[in-house]
Amino acid sequence: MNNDLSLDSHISRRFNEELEEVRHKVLVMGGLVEKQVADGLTALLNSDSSLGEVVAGADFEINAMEVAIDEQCTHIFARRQPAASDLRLVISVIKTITDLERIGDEAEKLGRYAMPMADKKITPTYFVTLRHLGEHVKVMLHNSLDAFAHNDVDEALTTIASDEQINQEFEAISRQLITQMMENPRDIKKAMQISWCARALERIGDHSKNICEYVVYLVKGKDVRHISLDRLNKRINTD
Amino acid sequence: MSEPWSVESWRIGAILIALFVIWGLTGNWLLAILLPLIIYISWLMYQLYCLERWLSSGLKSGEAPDMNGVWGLIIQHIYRQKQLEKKHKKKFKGLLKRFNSVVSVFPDAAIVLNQHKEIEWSNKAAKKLLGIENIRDRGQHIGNLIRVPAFQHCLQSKNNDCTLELNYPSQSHTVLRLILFGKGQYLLTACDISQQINLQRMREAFIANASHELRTPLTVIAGYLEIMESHPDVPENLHEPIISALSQANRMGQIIEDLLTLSRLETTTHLSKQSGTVVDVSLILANIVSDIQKTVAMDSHILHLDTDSTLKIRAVESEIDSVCLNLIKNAVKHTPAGTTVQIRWFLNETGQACLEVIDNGKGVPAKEIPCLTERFYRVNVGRSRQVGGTGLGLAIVKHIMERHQGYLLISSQADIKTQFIACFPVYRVYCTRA
Repeated sequence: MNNDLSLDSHISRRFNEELEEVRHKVLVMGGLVEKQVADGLTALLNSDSSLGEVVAGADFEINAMEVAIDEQCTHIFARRQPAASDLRLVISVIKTITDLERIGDEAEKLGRYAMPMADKKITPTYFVTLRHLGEHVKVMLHNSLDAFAHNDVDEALTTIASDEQINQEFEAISRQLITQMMENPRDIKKAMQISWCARALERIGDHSKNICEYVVYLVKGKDVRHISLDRLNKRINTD
Repeated sequence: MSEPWSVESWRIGAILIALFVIWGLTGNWLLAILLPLIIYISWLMYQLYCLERWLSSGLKSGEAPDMNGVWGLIIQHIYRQKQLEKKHKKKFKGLLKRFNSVVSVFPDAAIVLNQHKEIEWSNKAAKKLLGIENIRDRGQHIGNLIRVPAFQHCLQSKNNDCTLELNYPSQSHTVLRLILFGKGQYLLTACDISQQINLQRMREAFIANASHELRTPLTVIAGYLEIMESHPDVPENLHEPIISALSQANRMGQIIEDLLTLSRLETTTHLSKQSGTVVDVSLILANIVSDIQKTVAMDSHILHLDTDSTLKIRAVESEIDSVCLNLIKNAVKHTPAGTTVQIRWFLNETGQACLEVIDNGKGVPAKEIPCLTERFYRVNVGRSRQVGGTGLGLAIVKHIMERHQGYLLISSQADIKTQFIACFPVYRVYCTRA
């Protein structure tokens, strides 16, 4: 594999396999989460309450995977006492699955909001901006998982940078919704629900950003959480 | 004896002569044996050393040791082998290059996986379609990059051929196909079918719009014809044409109605496994049979109804109604008077709920059977129009069955029977009897 982590250089072949397996499981879980987010969004935008119900009911799978991977990581700690890059891998896996599970929760929320909203016949104009934000978030989640799969710091950094755009879009939607609420107070409830959905999407973006930060930690061994983008780039470049 | 070997035998001869000469001179036979042998062995060792040096230096043509005898022969053989190998290598290199350039411009993505489903090789299209790069992603598990859950199931299943349609990456439609080949290796191909899907959508939209646009004027025409038909002022000689025009207008209306039903079935989203209400099929069948016996098949056909009234299914009622009506009407319309039609509603051996319609009419030629469910396909065009068929009935039935994850089987034996079986999957069966 093309990375500088050299996961395949252990004397124990079994250990390599264990690490590879845990990495694979995280990505399978990621695929499930991606599907949940995509389905939740579709349910919301197409006013499909039955799909929303499916999404809301399928979160348990993700939770089960989180528990299983967590346990596997504990086993690796106990049996192998990993060091250096192996240690970083196991730690970032543990953190990544927490974020993935949270994304799953947000997707479940989208599905649950979709059910009552589908019956209320919300005007499609509300959805235009939400659709745009949703597409963005989907791409971001996909890219962050790709960065994890490739151990690619550059990909992770560009994805981290794209979170700013999502935050701005969320701001814009909120402002637009507030204006609409002031103009038409009878629609406040609908507008609030749209706002919650936008909020859920924005949170998914944040969690994706976290995953990218773990990728940077995994490959470079540097903690880049809670710092601005400029400082982040500086810290990466000073090897 | 060939020349190199004679050189070698001369050497042995020289050693023997030296042996006798030394023995003659010194009288010491031990020295006489040892001295020539030691010289000969050291010379051999030197030759071996030269040969080894030459071999390890990569057989450079200018540095071949200058030897005669068998040693020269051996060096010659090795050198010739090497030249031959070089030629072959060049040929294979050319072939490989050509193969690689052909495969890399291949429009479909192709990825070779080993038995652990890790990427071994991929072509250029794989990067464009799936974002998989040949060098970077080599050795990566394919499931790490294509994470769609449906594909993961595909990877885990023991099937050696698995086809999957995906919205991946989002916005475009891709058909993925995983094929087992060789010793546990897999070939994954992907091609972009967005264009076909768009074309299909356009076609469906066109049919829906066109039939919708045709329906309104047709209603007006049929309405006026109906008025004229019963109007006393219309001359007697026009009566016949008006009735004929009216029946044609009604037939056209029926076709448009069927087309609209089809396009509605196509455009509405896929039914999930649990959706639908509990439908009492035996009740529907009983109603249809009694209706048909009163009208179309009056006196002419014998209808046998054999239903399991406890067997119900979870489905969309209006669509099931349409399936039953179409199948029974077909059996009655396309068979001569006096035909017996058997209708059965039962649970088959595998637990599926099946509707079976058998008639003992003339039968359908075997080569026509696969085409029966195509739109507007008729075995006998003239006769079908006479009896008022639209050519869409079985297409509608097939579509509804597919929507309910069921299937439609048609079989026929000439002059004995024609059999239609429509089966619904196990999870749709809803039995009131425990």
